[in-house]
Amino acid sequence: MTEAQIYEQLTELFREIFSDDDIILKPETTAADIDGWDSFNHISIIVSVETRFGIKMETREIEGLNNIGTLVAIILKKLAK
Amino acid sequence: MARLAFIGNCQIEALYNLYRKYVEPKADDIFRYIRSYESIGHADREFIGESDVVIEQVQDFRPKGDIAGIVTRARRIFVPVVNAGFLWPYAGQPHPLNKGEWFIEGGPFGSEASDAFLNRMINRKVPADEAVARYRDTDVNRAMNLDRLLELSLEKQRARDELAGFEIADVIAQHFRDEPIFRTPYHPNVRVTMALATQFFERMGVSIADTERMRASMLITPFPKEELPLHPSVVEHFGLRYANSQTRYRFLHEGAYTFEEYAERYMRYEWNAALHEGVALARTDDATRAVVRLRDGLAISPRSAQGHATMGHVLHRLGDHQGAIASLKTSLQIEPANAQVCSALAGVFTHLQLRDEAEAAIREAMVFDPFEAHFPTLLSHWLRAWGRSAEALALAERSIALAPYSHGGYSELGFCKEGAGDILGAEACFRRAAELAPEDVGVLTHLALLLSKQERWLEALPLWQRVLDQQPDNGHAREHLIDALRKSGSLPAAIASMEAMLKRSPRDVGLLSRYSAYLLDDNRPTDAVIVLRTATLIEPRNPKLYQELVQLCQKTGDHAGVEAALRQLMAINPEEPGPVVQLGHLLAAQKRWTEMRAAVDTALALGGEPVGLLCLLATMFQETGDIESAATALAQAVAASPQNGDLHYQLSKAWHKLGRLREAVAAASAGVAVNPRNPHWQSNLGYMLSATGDYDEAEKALRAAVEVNPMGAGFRSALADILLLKGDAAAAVIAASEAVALAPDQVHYRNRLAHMERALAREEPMAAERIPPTARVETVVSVIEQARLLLDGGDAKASHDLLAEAAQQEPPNGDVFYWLSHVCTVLNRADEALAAAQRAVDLQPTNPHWLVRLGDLQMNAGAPDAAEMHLRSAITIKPDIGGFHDALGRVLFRKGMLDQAIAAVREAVRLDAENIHFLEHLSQLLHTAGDTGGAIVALERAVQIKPENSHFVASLERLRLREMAPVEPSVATAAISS
Repeated sequence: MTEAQIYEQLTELFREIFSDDDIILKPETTAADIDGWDSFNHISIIVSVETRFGIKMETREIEGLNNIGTLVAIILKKLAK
Repeated sequence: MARLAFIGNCQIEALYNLYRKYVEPKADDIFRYIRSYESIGHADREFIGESDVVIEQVQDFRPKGDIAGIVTRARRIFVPVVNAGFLWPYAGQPHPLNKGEWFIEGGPFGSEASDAFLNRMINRKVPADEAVARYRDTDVNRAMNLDRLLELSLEKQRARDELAGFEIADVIAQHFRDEPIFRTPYHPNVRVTMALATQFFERMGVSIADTERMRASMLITPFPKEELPLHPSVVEHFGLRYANSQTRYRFLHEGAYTFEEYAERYMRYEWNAALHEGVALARTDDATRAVVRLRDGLAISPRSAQGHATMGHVLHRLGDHQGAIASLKTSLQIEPANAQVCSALAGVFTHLQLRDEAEAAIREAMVFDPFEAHFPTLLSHWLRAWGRSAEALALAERSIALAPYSHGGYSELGFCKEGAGDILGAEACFRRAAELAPEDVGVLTHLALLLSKQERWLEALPLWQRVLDQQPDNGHAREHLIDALRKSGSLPAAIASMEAMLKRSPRDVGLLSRYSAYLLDDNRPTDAVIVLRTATLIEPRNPKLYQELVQLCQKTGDHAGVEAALRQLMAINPEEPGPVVQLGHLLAAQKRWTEMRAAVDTALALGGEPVGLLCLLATMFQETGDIESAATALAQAVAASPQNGDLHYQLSKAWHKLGRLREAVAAASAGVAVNPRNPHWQSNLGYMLSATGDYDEAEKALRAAVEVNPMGAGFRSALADILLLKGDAAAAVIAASEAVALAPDQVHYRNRLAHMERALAREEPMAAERIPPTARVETVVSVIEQARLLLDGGDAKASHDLLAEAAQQEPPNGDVFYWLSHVCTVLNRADEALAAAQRAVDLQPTNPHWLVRLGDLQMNAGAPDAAEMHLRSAITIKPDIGGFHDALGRVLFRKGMLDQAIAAVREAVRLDAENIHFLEHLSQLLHTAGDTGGAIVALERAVQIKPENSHFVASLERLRLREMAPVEPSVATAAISS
């Protein structure tokens, strides 16, 4: 799966989760840019991503997430294995 | 003193409330809860900066060194956020239409009541039925790996626990399948709350006893009771044992719904705004509007227990008690174990005096929540009012055991102990309550009242002041403060405080009335009258004011004022005989016989007490020379009141004047039979008997009088006369000498003694030699007697000149100076009178009568200290003369030493229990001191001795009325506020 495909699927997932079809994910997008993404549902979002892509992130990887670019990089790395 | 800042979301707020409720407060500790999710204001930032301990939450990151940029040296206690988001994978995003209202701040479907799946359906405009069906049929685990969600959630919880030093994750992991450990993602149920609170208390160093009491008392979660439904597939996946698709979940106050019902309502944004607005309105003053909205709301949600309970509260407030009972009972039918609703129902029953029902309801509340201290406190309060003191005391003690830091509980226990007579115990309880709630006005008031009741004015004063510092308009407290100031001897401060009060309530006639009394106490009678007259202008039909005006004018000698006030009273209540009787006495004193006769007739027609009125008539007849009619009136009075010895006494005198000696002796004997211990009546009998020539019986009667009152010089002088008549001149001289010794300033007794000495010298010269002669009696007596005759004849100037000339002669004689001071007083030569009295005392400092005379003049001259000194000297020389003590009482009162004045006059009464003037004086002093009961007893005794004295009778009636109907503080407060 290419990075573009990951962005496409991830965007679709985020639009579904946040009920917002206007969401456009970019590498520099952070939680602060998406209305409703807060600590309350952060874990649910991570698990939704894991479920959608069939991966499992390490705790340190989750803690190291600081923007969408990092998330996509982790997904790419997990899918490549 | 320590400052404790609690910063965080609702979980920290819950811990804050638990800490305040269960942990023993240290004196002056200051607490503050600050919502972390709101921007911290200036005051809160300052508080945090100065705090000694800061309690804050650990989110998913390590806490910073500062707190929201505030540098602090405070000890920091961290508490982990707890949540169970894995049970509600779609929670966290509010409903798209969710909107806060004034009565529901976060809106009905905020984060804790939200569902992102349904939000998507709403945004995509999927029909509600279809959306609910799709959601119901969704396998959540396929969209989101629930086991992974659980794993990550617990991992995060453990991380937060570790940062804060708590252990919550294991509690969640161990129990979430067996019991609903959370009601919504962030609202834990009892188990998790208790674990969190227990570990928090440990961090704070709370005692084991307090922690255990918290654990034992927590039967339900302190968090909101709303629940977010669990998706059936989540229930199934985790194997939750307490839920299924038909489980009902509570939504706000509206009732309980299944998952599907909830989803349908969520899709339609369906909620009961009227009900919630009604519940919120019930907490405001707009009870009528609350009822309207609650009715609308209950029509939509008839199974809302909270709605019916609130309706019950509001209807009770509006006076519809039956409606309130019906609503509260409906609430209990829906939620039978609600202790608060049972308590509310008990409150309504109590209001309706349905004691059995009230007690049953509050006891039911105690069964449903046996750890809530408020219920036994309430029942104790009621039982105390119902006279079941022992049970009340036991309940109050139980309440303290449940809530040992409740000031309300200690106050109630204090009242119970006070009621049981354990004043020290009561004081200890009130003081403990004041320690626990130093700013609570109610607690301070209870303690101040208790101290005031014990007349511990100096201790009560600062407490009343603290109450007023917090509530400057608290008229009840200000009245007590004024009272305490007055009783503690600070009359000027009391008057100043009362003037401050009058500035706020210038038309409060009760206040004006008291102000007038205080001005009189301050020796400002004219001001007192002006104030009382002002009060009558405000309330011209208030009889109490005119009664007080009568008293005041009587004290100031303003007879015209007395008459005017009495006539006002008669106009206000023409059927009341009391004022007419009083007017009759006033008119009699002024010898206005025609008007007096009319007043007496009116009083008799109105049912006025006949004995006193007949006495008035008798006085009138005697004064007008119609002794026969006077005797007839007195005989009627005697027939009406045969146990009144004084009437017999008066009648005997009337018969004597008519020359009907047999009737006179009979009447005098009847008086003595009523009370053989009255020396005046015995003396009168002796006089009547001597008139009939029965000297032996006369001597017996006079000896009886002397025995009863050995200090009565007049009785001994009269006895001397009888003894002389019997031919025993030697015995007569001895008795007459005793009379002179007892009253050396009485010229009459000296004359009689000289007369008897001459008789003795003439008849028994041998015996006369054995009796020591009274030095210079005759010479001095002749000068003084001549001066007195001149004075009685109205020629005070000539009397003065005679005595002044005698005063120049050597050797100087104290009697002459003593009488000179009298004559100077008549001539309004106050300075000369004082100098003469002083000279008399200088010549014979041990003459108690002259000392008293000097003291009187000094008091009038504004030298109360010197007056007190001379009166005390007189009393030291002759301690058994009531008049001396009474005079001392007047000086002490003038000096503001009320308690000592009362003691002095009490001594006067003890020495001469039959002296009505002493009794009246004592009554006045006791009344001034606020001891109305004591004042009544003293005046009752005076009335018993002289029942025909209508002034005493009227005063007594007024005192009794005051005793029976004291001004309620609440009434006074209401009057002030109005």
